[in-house]
Amino acid sequence: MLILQAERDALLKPLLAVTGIVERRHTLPILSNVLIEKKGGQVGFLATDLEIQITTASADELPGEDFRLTTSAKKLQDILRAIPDKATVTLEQLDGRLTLKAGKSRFNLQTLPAEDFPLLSVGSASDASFTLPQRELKRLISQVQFAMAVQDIRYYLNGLLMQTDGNQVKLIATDGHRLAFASADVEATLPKAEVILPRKTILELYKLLQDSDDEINIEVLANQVRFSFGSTVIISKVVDGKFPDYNRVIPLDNDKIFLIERLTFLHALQRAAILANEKFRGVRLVLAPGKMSILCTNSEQEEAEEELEIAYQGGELEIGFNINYLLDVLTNLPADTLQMAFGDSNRSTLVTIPDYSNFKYIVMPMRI
Amino acid sequence: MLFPWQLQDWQRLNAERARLPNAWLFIGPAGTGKLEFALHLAQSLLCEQLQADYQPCGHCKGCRWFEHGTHPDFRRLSPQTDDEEEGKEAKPGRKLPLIKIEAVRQVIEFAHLTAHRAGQRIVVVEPAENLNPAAANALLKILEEPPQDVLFLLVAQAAQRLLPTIRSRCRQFPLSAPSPAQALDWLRQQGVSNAEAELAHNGGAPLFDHDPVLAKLRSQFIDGLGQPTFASILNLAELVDKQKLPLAIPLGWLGKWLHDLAGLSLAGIVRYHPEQQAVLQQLVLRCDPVALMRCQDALQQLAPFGQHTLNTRLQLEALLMDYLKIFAGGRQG
Repeated sequence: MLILQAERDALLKPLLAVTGIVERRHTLPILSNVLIEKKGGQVGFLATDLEIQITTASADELPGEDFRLTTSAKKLQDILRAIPDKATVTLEQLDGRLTLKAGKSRFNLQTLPAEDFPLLSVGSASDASFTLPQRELKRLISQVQFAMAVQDIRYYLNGLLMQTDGNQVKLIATDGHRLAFASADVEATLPKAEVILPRKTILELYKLLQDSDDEINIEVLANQVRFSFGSTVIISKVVDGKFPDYNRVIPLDNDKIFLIERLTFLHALQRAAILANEKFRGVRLVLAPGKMSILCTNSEQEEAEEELEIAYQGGELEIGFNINYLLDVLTNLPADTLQMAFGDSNRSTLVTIPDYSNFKYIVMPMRI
Repeated sequence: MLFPWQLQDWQRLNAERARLPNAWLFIGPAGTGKLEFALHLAQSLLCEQLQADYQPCGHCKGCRWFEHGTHPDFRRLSPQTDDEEEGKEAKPGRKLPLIKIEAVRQVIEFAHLTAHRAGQRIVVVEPAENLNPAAANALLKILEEPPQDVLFLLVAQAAQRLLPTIRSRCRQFPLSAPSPAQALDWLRQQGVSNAEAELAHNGGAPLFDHDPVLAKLRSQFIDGLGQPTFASILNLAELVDKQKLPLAIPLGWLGKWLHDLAGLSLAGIVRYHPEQQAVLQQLVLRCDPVALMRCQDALQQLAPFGQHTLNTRLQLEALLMDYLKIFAGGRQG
């Protein structure tokens, strides 16, 4: 029985948006499938990996009757990609099998019952709901996501804390060695709420967000977060845990402060990093009035030394860091000039952007 | 599914529903339906239209998914799932013996994410004694204080084989074994032929893998044991080897046979082979108790290699030679 007829792109585009999270190998076979649902002219695609559920709808109204089925996401995607651009695709369903025809090509695919697909039960809405331009959210995420922990035993660090308070949204990520904080103003008065978004959700969301002024709506639900943009809706589970109090780690009385060109500093570090110890990645920064030296040595006693002129008139200081933690922040910041604030060699260092309070990066020193 | 002999246990459990602990530990002898009981409880907790007496409805979304093994809020920690995850076909009789730490870590990750449906998240650990020490220790923290709406159900044969730290974090719940009459009734309902003998052979535990081919082979094997001659022994080893059975199976049969021989000669009790009482009686007359113990010792030494790729025929022949020696003295005297 014929259930759908559409141009290739009308199916492929929404399908590609959801298949990013589909895992090839999973203990539950149905999770490698995509749920295709047609309801009143709109065809929706839905995929889940039990952490995130993504739905999109096709842009155009399509004729035909309503139906629901699931079939292998990967195979459907490969087939649609391989057939010519403007080809018309017809889908037919018979006895639990799906037949896809385009021109003289014919594909017979297996389906699984749509009722067996594990849909998330969506929690009740809350007042913590706001909109941001996609570009803005993408920028916020790019400023903090690199600091998220990877498979840390402290499960609550394997994600990103999202806080709403008044007219501000704050994103915080930390792995215990460094912490990144970014915030943005929104046109809403938000209640105090906080959720920890799983690492995978953030990475997936970042891939799907576009550099445009189109808006994305974010709602904090009970035990879930919903992101809606365009015709795509992402519902993510959240991490059940308590994020550490980040305010207590932000150093306030660091007195060795200077401004530095981001790219100059970045390039100097990148050169020095070549000879940094491969395991510990240590770098020594030596501050003296007017200059900063960057020193790296590796296990083979090779040395790299860089010297930068800086506008600094404070006391001398020698401090060690993991060079990757410095490279990460320097690579991901949009600003040209940074402010570095050092305390002493045992205290954390604060990286900020001058005259801009919406970004902070704290990195712990390393004894070398 | 609940077995008829578990109805009282179910009532006893329901009385405690108001104050469910963070973890249950179900204990009972092998083959009496402990896992089924735990799974039934899990299904009832995940059912979205609970029936009277806390019975799951069997047709809501939660129940359907559960029955298909696809419920997103349910995880099962057992050696088999580990095997499947690595993508290898689980060969019968050769499952990974231990639950490893990677599997436990995945479960911990699962438990710290919020639920897929609005209800609880359930983890069944079975058999809990197969957690290796690292895995057991990794489980401790979350077992002590699981996130809200997460419930652990552990299933074990003997609590004392678990780490004391695991034991103390669970509420223990001994499950009753069926009475012989209940077990027989149930077996007959399942259409098992020769129910008494099978039940006796499995020590009164009704949930054995009923495999007619294996049962026939076993009776051939036992008959062979009943006539301990050199030729019949060699035939037996060949018989087992041809079927490519893992060593553990004939070892089990022989172990039970030796147990009955010893039992009959020392105390007059036959546990596993009541239908062979006459044959056993004959054998006991010729049996040398010291050689019997020696044969049992040899069997015990071989037992840990039951799933090993040792040459089954060689090992079995060696063991059966020991078995022959039990009766060697009798023939001379």
